[in-house]
Amino acid sequence: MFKLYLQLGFEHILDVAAIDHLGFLLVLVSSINPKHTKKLVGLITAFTIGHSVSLAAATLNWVDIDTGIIESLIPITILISALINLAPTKILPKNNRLLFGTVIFFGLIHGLGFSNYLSEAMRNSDKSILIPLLGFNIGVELAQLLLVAPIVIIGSILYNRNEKFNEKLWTYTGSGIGLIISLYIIFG
Amino acid sequence: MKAFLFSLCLCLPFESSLHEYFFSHTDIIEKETTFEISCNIFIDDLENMFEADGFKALNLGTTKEDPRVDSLLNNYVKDKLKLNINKQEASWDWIGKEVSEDLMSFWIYLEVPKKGKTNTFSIDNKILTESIAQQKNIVNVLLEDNTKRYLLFQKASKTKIIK
Repeated sequence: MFKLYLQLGFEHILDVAAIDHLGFLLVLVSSINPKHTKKLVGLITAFTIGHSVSLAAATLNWVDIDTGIIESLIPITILISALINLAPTKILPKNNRLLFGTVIFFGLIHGLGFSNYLSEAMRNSDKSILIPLLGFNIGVELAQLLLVAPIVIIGSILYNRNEKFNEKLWTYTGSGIGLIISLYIIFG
Repeated sequence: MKAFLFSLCLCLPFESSLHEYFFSHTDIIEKETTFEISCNIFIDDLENMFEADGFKALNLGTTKEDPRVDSLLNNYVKDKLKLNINKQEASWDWIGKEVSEDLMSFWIYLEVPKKGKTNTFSIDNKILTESIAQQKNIVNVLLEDNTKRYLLFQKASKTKIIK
């Protein structure tokens, strides 16, 4: 049972339909200069904590939020993050607490999206919740790692090769793609 | 900026069709003399599939349901859900069907009479996978010797051997 839900979580993130998740990760990773490894790991961890907490909370029925609202909010989280990165003047929260808080909050929204999928998959199995939840969550994180790793690696290679690493170009490219993805989901 | 974002949020339709999930669930339980099969499939997906096959206005799951529906469903499931027991394709008896509590899906009940001890068991489930790209079929198998399997079938999945 663990394996089944691990596979579902893993494939759900790598599915074309889950392009929203990739979009958010792209915006998140590109918002940071690759040399700030600690901050980058911190932000990804914050996002992971956020979506794991809400995925668990919704799957265990501690919270119940309308599916449609969540699905509409997810691309908005990408859109807002991308716009913050692309804004001509830096409006990225300087205050780290605020930045991490925002990422955790957006993570919470994404986790509720995952829970919609998981609850559909578990629709007719009333027996155990914990094993599917655990398997699914780990599957999601493994797939996320698989998506984040190449983005980070590309960033680091560019950074190491080029003494005048163009941080702006890095951020604009990642956030630009993220912006297109979010607009595609919203209006496409 | 804030005002722009806020107004953008308000304009968005709160019913994205991006995430529609397609799952079917099948339980197969081995009893003393039979295998009991219960199969849960979304009614609207079946309706669309039958319609594409030229069966219009079947009114699945309603009081106006076409009388051919049970035999259509039986033939469809027979064609897509394959059990191979002791190296023979299993045939089953149609027990019946009912609409789920949320009115969204059918529960289809089938029964395979057993012929002696189960030495080999394999299964394939192509329910709706040919008509819906994202279709995922979850199958739970519980055999008498306490073999438990939780299986996932989707497009391009092959037959799975349980024992």
